[in-house]
Amino acid sequence: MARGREKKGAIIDSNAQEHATRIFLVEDHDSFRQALAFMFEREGEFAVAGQAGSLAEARSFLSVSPEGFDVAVVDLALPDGDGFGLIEELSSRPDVMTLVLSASLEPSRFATAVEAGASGVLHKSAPIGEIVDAVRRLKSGEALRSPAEVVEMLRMVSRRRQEEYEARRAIEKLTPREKQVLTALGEGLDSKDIAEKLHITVETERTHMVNILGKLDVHSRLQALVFAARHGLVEIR
Amino acid sequence: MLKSGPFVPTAAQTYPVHEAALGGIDSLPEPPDNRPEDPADVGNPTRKRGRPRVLMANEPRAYREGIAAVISQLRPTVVVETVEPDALDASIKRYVPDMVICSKATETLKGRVRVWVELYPENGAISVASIDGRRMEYTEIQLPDLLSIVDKAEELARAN
Repeated sequence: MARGREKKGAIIDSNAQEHATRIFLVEDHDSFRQALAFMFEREGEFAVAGQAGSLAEARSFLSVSPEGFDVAVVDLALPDGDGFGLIEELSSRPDVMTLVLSASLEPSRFATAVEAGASGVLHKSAPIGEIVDAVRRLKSGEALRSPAEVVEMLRMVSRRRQEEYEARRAIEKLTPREKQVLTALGEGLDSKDIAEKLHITVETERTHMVNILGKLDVHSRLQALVFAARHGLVEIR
Repeated sequence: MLKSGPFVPTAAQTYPVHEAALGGIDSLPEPPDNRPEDPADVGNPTRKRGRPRVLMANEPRAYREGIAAVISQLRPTVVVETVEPDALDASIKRYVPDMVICSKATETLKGRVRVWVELYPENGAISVASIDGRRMEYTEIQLPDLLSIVDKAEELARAN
């Protein structure tokens, strides 16, 4: 029943036409990447210079063909990591533009890609024609997003970074005992059960909880739990 | 077209080449030799619908449209329809497809369609194909695999 395949490296095509827009595809879903390559080639004005299914394959390609393409189309979620670092590497090449193509619905990931240097971002729910056209527009120097949109995305990244920083600071303020109370809360225990588990009185548990709420700047046990889960302080199973 | 296309590994022969280039895309299965040029003209009495149908209801849209375009171009003897995933069951009843490519196999699909592919369910790497009740799992399905399955579906449709 099972049939396995092992990825071995990037595809290189040195026949990429001289005057065509040369494209480098980084996408781990092979059948889609191959279809995308087919679509670009069909247009005539594009030549697929290389394909990679992982960050490792992409970096291998870059090492042997560093200037062999004009536009990179990069998926964010690759089997060996996020594509952000690769986007940064690509953005350091003045003649290369990067179009991010992602299935993620998180706007912050798109924003992070823009901050890393992506020239454009598209969701995979876009029509295939829009993807081809986006590469065409990027190559002609057109922006896919307005400056206002880009600024908003960068603000989003900045806000998120600030929030993460503040969350880290808040977590640092928690005592080991308060962390234990939060962990117990994450196990679904109520005040009485937490007190029993930690061998403290219910009043003491409540005092800890009040302190936790104050330090995390939240207003309820539920909010404290959500905060703790979001920032990896507790694991909800 | 594909033989002169982007998939021919011509450079860096010592460089590790992706399997797709090692006889992958470059060796896309040709349509079977015994297939009539225009099946609609053959007038198979047991089949009144004409050309075999492939229904695509997978997501995301870019995958659906991209793969549909390739199948349409490389397998012109089949009709390819694309629908939104939530219209899968209704479309199966309406189009009576010979093959379905979707992201999540439904009971209607399993009960009514002989050849289907669950392509990248949950956006993962694994895909599952069922050809006349025989199930196969692909850790990373290739475009040639999909075309081969289309050929199988066409073969089964014509055999009926």
